[in-house]
Amino acid sequence: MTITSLTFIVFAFATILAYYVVPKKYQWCVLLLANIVFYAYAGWKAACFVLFTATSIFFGALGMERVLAKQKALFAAQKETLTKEEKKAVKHKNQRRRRRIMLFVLLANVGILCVTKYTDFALAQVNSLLAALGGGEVRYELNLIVPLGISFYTFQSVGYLLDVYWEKISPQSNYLKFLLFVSFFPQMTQGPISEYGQLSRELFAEHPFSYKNYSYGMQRMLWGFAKKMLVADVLSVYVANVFANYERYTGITTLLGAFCYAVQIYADFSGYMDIMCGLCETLGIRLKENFDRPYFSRSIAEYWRRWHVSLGDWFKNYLYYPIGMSDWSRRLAKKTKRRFGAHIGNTLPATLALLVVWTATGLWHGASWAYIVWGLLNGVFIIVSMWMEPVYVKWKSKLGLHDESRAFRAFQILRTFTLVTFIKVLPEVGDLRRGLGLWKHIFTDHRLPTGVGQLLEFADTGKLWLILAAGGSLMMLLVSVLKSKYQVRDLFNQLPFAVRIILLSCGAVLVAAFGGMAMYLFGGGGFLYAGF
Amino acid sequence: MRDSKKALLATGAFVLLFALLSGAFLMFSTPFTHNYDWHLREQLAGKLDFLIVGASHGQCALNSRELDALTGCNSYNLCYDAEGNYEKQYLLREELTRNQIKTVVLELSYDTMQAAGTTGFTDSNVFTVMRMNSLADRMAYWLGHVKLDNKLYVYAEMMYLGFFEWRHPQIPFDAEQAALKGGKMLPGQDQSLPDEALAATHHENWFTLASFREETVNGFTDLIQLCQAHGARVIVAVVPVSDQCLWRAENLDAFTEWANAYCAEQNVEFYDFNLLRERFALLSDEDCYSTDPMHMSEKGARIFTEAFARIIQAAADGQDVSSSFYQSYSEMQWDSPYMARFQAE
Repeated sequence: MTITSLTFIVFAFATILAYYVVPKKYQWCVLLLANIVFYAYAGWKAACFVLFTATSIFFGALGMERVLAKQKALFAAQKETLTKEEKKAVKHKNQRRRRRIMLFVLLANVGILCVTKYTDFALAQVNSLLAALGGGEVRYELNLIVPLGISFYTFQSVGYLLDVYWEKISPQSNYLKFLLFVSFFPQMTQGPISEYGQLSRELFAEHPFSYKNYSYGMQRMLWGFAKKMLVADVLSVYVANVFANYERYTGITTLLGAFCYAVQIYADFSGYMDIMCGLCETLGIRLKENFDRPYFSRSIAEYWRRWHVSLGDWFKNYLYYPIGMSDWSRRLAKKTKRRFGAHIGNTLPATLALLVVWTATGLWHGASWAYIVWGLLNGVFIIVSMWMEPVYVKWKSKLGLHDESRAFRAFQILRTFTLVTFIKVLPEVGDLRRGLGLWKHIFTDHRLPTGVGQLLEFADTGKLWLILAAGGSLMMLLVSVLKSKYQVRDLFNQLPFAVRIILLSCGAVLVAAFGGMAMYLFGGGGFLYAGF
Repeated sequence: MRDSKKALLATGAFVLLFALLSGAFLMFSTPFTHNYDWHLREQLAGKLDFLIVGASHGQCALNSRELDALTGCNSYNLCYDAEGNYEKQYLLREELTRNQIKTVVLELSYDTMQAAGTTGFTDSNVFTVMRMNSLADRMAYWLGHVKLDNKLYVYAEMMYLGFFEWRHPQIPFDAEQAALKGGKMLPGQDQSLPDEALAATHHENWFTLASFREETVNGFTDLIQLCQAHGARVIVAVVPVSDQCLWRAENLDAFTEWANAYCAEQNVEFYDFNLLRERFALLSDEDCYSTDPMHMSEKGARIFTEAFARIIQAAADGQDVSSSFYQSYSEMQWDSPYMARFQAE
């Protein structure tokens, strides 16, 4: 089901209506039913993968819980007779059992993700290696389908499994409720990747109808549609032009195209989030926010705390911390601290953990060298900043720069945005070679555009669309700036009812008319992050 | 007020306003109209010399591309679904003014002269609004010509289209549509319709002289006079409907008699191609008509256009073409496969 279609809007309204009509204790059943309808549109093959993940993790978690329960029962029954050592031995044995269950289920699910997503890439690397060694090649034509949203729901489910393993949460004992958590349709294809503790509270609570939730949610959905259909879909044409033919354009024009991509991907991804978070808000459900004005970040590390927040949190909780807190990491920190001092002692283990996290982040986004390099580049920037922090502090003090001065902040924001844009475009141009070629072109083609026409040569869709995309982008910028000081949504809702309805209707007509036409003309509708 | 009532009120107000604005947007935005052929006509301005004017029967039956190839003319099919006389005049006047038109075919269906709401020939419809060139024309038409009771209906149609068809705006025609110049290609039905289906698509007793509307006849006369004022040859033509459909109508001979007399009075040529002698050999009910047996399929249009071109060229050359037609429906019915089957039953 295309999110930007009339079918989806009808589906959304039907879900909202049914959700508030049924008795509150069955509201979650309506959501489960909506999931089934949503999946029916995506095809049942994809649903089989979700069912496998949900079933294996559900029973895996219950298995781990049962081991714990048995242990508790044993300790309670033999409270007096068991010695401390015996208790320790039982605990150790049970912990190993639980780890075996966890690893088995984890590997099965991550295995499916890897097989469906990375087999082609892996075999291509094997073939390259064989060719380099003068050998034959592995013939393959697997044509595996990558199930809808597999990267997202696998991570969310694995997070749940690990939380149960670490005894942070108790497992869900109702299979259907767990199925709803894994397959909740608003977050299936592009996240956010939620933690069980937070999402289950929202999903299984009873939500009375609230006008505020309904109106705020609807407004947010409209804002999301506008971002996606008026900005992202139109800019996608310009970006495709630049990326496919950057050699034709001047360096400045190519740079502008790269900035357009940065705006496009933000409008596309955050637009989707606004649509889905808005829909959930109408149901009284708060989804985890995935964006916090990321292009106003002052460093790459901060940017990644504000862009695709749920993915960053996932990697932090389930990869970075486990590596950073592991025994060997602590030993390494101790040794290096003793030998090289506190800064290196603290930074080196974090560096190693970051390298693993960013390689994984690159691979999560796509099976190609370009994505791996993209991930590592992000990691390298963050690592270098971490290592250089004491030097920066000295420089800033010598130059008299204050972190809170407006000019310095603006410089940092602009620098981070530019860096992020350069890194972002690398895997999107086609392959690594072309990505690097685009960088080189920006820096080596010093031709100056003869006028606005040449500067915007890639914008071949006519002035109307250019004005729409530029106007939409400026609107997004304005809202982001206002958000730093005001609750923009509250401000809007303080307007008189009639004014609000008129503004929203005009906005809806603009989105429906021009957005619909943009889809017709430029073939939009798909979301960039759905491909990751 | 309870939250749910507030939500209903807000949603209702939003949807209503959205629909109203959608309709207005459609009226105001020329390049985004549903029925977008003014751009193509504008491109062809000054080059056309042959026009076909009428409603859906004419649009489906006469293929401009074929006609051009057969006769060497540069034709345009101005017909459109349920087009009324006002709309026909508007488009015709415009094309006569900006082109040197030599021939105009006025398509005449049996029910044209009794056009009323029930036949779908409302005096004004949404498609016409959208075929007009400028906002001023559209507003003038909607405010001035569309009758009061129809104003809201037309606007509602615009709201409907605005609401549901944003996704399908017919922005400049593709090459094939452009080459067709206004015509419409329908798929063939590939089989005879069962009688019940036929009855459902058929206007029972669709023709009676008594139900002719004077203002409609006068409007048609105005069309003829407009063409004559521009020195164009005027051909009034009835295009064929399927054999199985045709005989459900009664009084067809009376219609032909009236049409012959009317056209003679107006000093224009009249051909009822339903009476074409070759029709049963050329136009099979199975694949020359659409699923709606009143309108021709793409194949039927190709065959019929060839026969049509041959007849009107022969007539232009001064030949007597009357022998190509049956004299009456009474005469023709003995050759009709449908009537033969009907009589056998």
